[in-house]
Amino acid sequence: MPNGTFRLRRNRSQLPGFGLTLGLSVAYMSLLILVPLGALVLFSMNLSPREFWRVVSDSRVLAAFRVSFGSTFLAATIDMFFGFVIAWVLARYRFFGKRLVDAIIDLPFAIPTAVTGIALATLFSPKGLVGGQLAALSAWINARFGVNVSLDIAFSGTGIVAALMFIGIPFIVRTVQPVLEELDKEVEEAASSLGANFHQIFLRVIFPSILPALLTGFALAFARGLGEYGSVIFISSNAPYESEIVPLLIVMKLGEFNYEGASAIGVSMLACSFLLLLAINFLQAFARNRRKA
Amino acid sequence: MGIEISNVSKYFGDFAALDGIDLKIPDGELTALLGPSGSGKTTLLRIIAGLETPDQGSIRFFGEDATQKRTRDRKVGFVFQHYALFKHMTIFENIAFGLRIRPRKSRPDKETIRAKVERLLDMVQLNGMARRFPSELSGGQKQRVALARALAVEPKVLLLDEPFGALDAKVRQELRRWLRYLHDELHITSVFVTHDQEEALEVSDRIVILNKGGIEQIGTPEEVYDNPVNPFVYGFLGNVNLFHARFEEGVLSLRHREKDDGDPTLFIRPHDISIAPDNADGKGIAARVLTHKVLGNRVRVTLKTLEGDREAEAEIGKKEWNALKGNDLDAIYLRILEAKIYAPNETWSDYVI
Repeated sequence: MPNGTFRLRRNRSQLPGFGLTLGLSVAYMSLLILVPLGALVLFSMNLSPREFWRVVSDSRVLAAFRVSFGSTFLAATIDMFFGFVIAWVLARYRFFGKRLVDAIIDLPFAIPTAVTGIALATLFSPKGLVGGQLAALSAWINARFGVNVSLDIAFSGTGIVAALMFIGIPFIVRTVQPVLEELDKEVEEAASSLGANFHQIFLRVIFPSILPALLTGFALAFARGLGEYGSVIFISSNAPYESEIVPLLIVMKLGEFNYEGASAIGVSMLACSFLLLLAINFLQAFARNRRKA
Repeated sequence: MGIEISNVSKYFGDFAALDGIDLKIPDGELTALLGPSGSGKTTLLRIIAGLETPDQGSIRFFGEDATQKRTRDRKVGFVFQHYALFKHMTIFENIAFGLRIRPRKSRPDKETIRAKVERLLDMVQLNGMARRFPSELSGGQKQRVALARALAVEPKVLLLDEPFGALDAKVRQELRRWLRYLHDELHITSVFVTHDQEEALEVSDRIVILNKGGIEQIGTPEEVYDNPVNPFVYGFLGNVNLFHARFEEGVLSLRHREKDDGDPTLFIRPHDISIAPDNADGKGIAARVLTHKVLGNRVRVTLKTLEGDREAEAEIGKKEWNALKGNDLDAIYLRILEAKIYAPNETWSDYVI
C-alpha cells in the first residue's frame, strides 16, 4: 500500500463529520455571539477615541465599574466557598430531603431575576422579616457600644452582593459536585494508609483535584454576576458613585437616547470581562496541566 | 507472630461478610488470601488495614492491639487493584508523599527524601520516570509506583488488594515473579488478596482459603494443593472431574448411573487421567474422544466412557497426544491415576467400571 494513502486513513477519526460540525459551530457562534458583539463595537466607533475616552473615564462610570466588578468578585468568592460546601454535602452524604435540596440549588437559574430582586428587597428592607431584625440589632449596638454600625442589606452595596450570591451559587455547585462525586475513594484511603490525616488529605489530594472545576464555577458565576441587572436594581439603592452598577448606567444612557455612550460603556465592559475570563481560563489550564502534563 | 486476627466478624446488613475469623499471619511471610468473589477476602484485608472496622473481634500487630487504631497510625502499606495514584502529582511526588506529610519532627530533610525516592525508583525499575505523571505510565508501571509509594514509609505490614487484577496476562506474570523476588529481598510481612489460585500457588509462602466469610484451609501452597481438606478447596484450586461411585465387595464401582445417598464422590484432576490406545493392564476404562483442545504444550481432551456415558476431561502432554491421535479415537482406554474421596471412614483400593 502506498504510504500516503495509509497515513490519510489512519488520521481519520471513527466518527466522520469534523468539517460539518466545525462549520456549524463557527456559523452558530458567529450569528449568536460574534455578529451582535461586533455590531456593538462598530457602533461605539461612531465616537471619536477622545469622546470614547471621555465617556468611559467619567467618574460616575468608573465608580459603577468599581461597584460592578468589586461586588461581583466578592459575591463569586463567597459563593465559591459555600458552593463548595454544598457540593461536598450533596456528593458525600446521604440524608433525608437530599433530592429536594438538590433541586432547590437550580432555582436561581429558573426564577425571573426581577422576582429575586423584589423578594430579597422585601426580606431585607428595614421593615422586612430579616431587615427589621438587623435594623434593631444595629440600633442596639449603637446604643450599647456607641459604635455606629449599619447592618442594612437592602438599598446598599451589601444588597448587591447578596443578590449576586443568590444568582451565582448554582454555577459553583453544579460544576464542583460531579467532580467530587467522581473522586476515587481509594485515593483517599491510599493517602490515609501513608499516614495522612483528614486535613492533609483534603489539602493535598482532594483540593488539587477539584481546583479546575472550582475555577470554572467561579468564572461562570463571575460572568453571570457582571451581566446581572434585574435582581440588583431592585435591592440596590442605585445611588450614583455608591451602589450603581454598570448595566444600570447603560440602561440610563439608553433612556437618554445616548446610544453611543451606552455602546462605549458596553464595549469597555466587554473588554474587561473578556480579559478577566481569559485570565481565569489560563489559571484553569495551569491547574489542569499539572495533572495531565 | 506478625498479625493475629481473633474472632473477627463483619456484617453488611444481614449478610455476614466475615464470620468469626481466627488467623495468625507469621512475621516476614508472604500470605495469600484466596477465595471466590464474595468470600470476604477483601473485607478481611481492609479490616487489617483499618479501612473497615470489624463488628466484633480484635486485630493485633506484632503483639500490640491495633483494633482501635486508625489506618494512618497502623503503619501499613496498602496497594490497590486500580493503583489509586495521585493523578495531579508526578511519580516522584507520589512516592515522596508519605514522607513529606510527616510532622516536622520526624520528617526527613529534602535531600534524604530525594535519595530515598531515587532508591525506590531504582528498586521498582522506573529510573528516569520521576517527573512523569501517572497518566503517562502503563498499568504495570503504575502498580510498581503504587508499591514504591507504599514502601517509602517503611510499613511494618504490606497489604495488596488484587494487585495484578487489572493487568494483562503477560505483565501479570512478570509482576508476580518480581513481587516474589522483592519479598525475598525485603522480608516484609505481606498479605495479598487474589481470586486466582495459580497466582496464590506461585507467589505465596502460605495460602489462606476463604469461602462465604469463613476460612476453609490454611497451609503452604504444596500442602493445600496436595491435600485439599474438602470438596470446595479441591474444586477451587483446579479443574476437577466428579464421578459418583459405589462400594461393592470392597471394590469401588463406577458402573451405577444413579446416585444413592451415601455414595461417595470421586474427585479427579484432569491431569490425573491418562489415556492409552490399549488396555494392557486390564485397568483401563473404555472410552471415546469427543473433542480436544491444544493449549500450548498441554492438550485438554473431553472423553465419554462407552459404558455409562460419563463425560470426563483429561489433560495430557502434547507428546502423548501426538502418539495417541494416530489410533482409533472411538476406542481408547482411560486410567485414573489418582483420586480423592470426601466421605468419612471410607477407603478404597481398587475400582471397577
